[in-house]
Amino acid sequence: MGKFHIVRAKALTSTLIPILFLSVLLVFPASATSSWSKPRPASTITYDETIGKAESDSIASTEIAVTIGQYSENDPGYGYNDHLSLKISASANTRKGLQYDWFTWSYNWYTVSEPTGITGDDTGVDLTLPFPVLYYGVEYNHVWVCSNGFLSFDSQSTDPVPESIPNTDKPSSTVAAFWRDLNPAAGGSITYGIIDQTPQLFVISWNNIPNKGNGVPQTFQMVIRGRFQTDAYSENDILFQYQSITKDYPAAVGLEDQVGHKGTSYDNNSLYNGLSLKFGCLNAGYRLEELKIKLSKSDGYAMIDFIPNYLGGYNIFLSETTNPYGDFYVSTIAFAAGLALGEVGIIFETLLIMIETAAVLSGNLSEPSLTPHNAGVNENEAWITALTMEEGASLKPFDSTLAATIEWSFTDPNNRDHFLTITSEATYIDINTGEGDTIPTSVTLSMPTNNPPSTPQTPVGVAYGQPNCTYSYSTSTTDPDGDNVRYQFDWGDGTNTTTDWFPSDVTATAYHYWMETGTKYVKARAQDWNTLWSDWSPSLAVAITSGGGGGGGGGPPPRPRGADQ
Amino acid sequence: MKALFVLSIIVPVGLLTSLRLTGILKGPITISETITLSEMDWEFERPEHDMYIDNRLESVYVNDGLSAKFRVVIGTYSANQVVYDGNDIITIGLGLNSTVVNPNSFIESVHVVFRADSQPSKVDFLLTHINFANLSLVDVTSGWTIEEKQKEAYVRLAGLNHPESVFLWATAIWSLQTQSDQTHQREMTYELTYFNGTTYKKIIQPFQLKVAGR
Repeated sequence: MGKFHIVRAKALTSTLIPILFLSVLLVFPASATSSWSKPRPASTITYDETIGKAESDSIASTEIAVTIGQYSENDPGYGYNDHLSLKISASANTRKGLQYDWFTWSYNWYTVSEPTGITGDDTGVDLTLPFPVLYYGVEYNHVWVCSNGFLSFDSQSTDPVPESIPNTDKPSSTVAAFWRDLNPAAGGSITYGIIDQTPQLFVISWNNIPNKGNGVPQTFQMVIRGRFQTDAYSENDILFQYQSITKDYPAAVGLEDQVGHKGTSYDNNSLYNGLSLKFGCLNAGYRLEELKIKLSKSDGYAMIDFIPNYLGGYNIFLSETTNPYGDFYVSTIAFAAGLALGEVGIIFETLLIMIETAAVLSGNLSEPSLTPHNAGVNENEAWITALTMEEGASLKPFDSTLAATIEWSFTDPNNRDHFLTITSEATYIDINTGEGDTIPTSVTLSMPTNNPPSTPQTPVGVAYGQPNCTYSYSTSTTDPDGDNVRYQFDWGDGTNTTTDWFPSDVTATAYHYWMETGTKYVKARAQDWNTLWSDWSPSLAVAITSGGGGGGGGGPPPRPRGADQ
Repeated sequence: MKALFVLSIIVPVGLLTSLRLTGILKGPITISETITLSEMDWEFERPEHDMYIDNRLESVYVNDGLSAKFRVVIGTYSANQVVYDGNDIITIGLGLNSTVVNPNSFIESVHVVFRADSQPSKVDFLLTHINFANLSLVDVTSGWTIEEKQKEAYVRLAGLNHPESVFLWATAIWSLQTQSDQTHQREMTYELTYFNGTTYKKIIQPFQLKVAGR
């Protein structure tokens, strides 16, 4: 194995991640299924359907999503074998285990004097942080400070009404030292500053800011502690300090994650002047170690091939070979890190990266350098494994994605049932202790042999008619697989009519007129949704005579010879 | 001490010579003649929808005790494939049969190479679809063209035990990373090296594959 480099996905900055959080809810239906089954069709069909599944434990979660693309029948390029294209994305993250806890701390008030510029009621300001702040697994360089006693890493809220913590409403990523309706327009100041010690402290102070309701001034501060070099696998501690506050109005105290699914609150009735609360994060050392996609097939009449130019990922570690850009993006990232957030009832939130991001990345080509293991007819399993590594740093990441396009090809002449189990395995470890676990999650695909519809009934309709009069004919059939069917009527004059699709056993009707006299033999056949045709039905003989017939289905015309044969 | 010194020279040299003579260790070969056959062209207008193409290009070369049949089968065209990031996909089958008849002649190697495209695209070989007889797979790699950069895709096979006849079938996927109004043109070549009993010769059969923009 040669040198290594790290896959970089520059579009996935910390500013994008909150958007991706929200896109979870938009793009992936909570009711997504984990299995897919379609009878093998008799001709090429594009499905473009996605299935997926997520699993989690108390620390991490992993998700797998599979898009079923085109089934190609008798492809000459494949030696006339059939094949099905699949896009697989395995994502995992260890943010689920992140949890802040609070401790009482020694009170030590920091005086800071730089004005934030917040002077109005229900206003805020965006401040540049003096050091990167790792908060619930996302690194931030800016923070929004609101007049109403809170700050947010993701939203510019000025909400004066304190919400319970955690809460899925805005603001998100909220750090609330004393969230209540405060009015700096009526007095006081909101200041900030850096305490130059090791590590640095970033301090924001609300100094004598009056309550909006009764004008009583409140003084408190928030302190974000920088991290030591050795703290690479920990989050920044956050300190709340209360110098002079009152309990005349409710206040929200605590912090919550990016989507408000989890957080840590402190009872505001327990606050007192001179209190110092330190919020520290637990489990920040749990990071991803490895991602694996494994495909297990059922039989020796199928093969699995990874398509090397369509392997990619986010926060994965690739062995380096030639690439045209040196420091580059992965050629194909269709999916990004998934976040199963682990609240009760929320077990499936797979994050698909936005198409725009994929397009940005796909414009830059990397040499595919993961080593896939394909499965020929004599092998049961194909797999690909990627070590994980945070972009731009030698750190293990909170989240990673591995994406691959594969071809599942079949060597039998459509007379066998095929099954495929696709598994994502995410391995995580605690950097500090070396402990960890592997979480698998699987989806299944099957392509059983398709059965054609039964032969339709002999068409039913008038047996005598006149030229240029329209007559109706009906038939029906049963599809043994329960597929929808459509019918083709052969009118015996060189023309035919194909109906719309009908459920199995539902009668279909078609209309026709003949322009010339003679005996016409009307028959029908049925095609199922998977394009397999039935045999032709027996024919109905229809006598078209210039003097006979009721016209348009009217009274019975003279009966021609052999009409009922 | 002196004997040890002599042995340290004789043993490696002797081993090297033995390996060379037995064919286990191959040295560089000298190709006395390279014959490039007439190029075979395939041109096709990019369709709007999926299309079953099944076009076959075939070239037969018989000379100097060698017969070779080079085939390219254009399989299907699939437009806007979601699982291929929205690219258009062309499947290509590649077939070769070759036999030598002269005394002491054999097939030395077979290379299949996709060279640069005129537009951004990728070529991938499907490993489980590379079938061969009397050959051993030496190397296979995917290729791409992007902007001014390009990397050739190739399959390299070596004759196994100086074979008199060889067979190869491989499947490749050509992904077009452009809109349907763009024209792609790619050269693909077979390079067959054989020993005619006296000297090594190389036969190159080029195919020009052109997919015209709509």
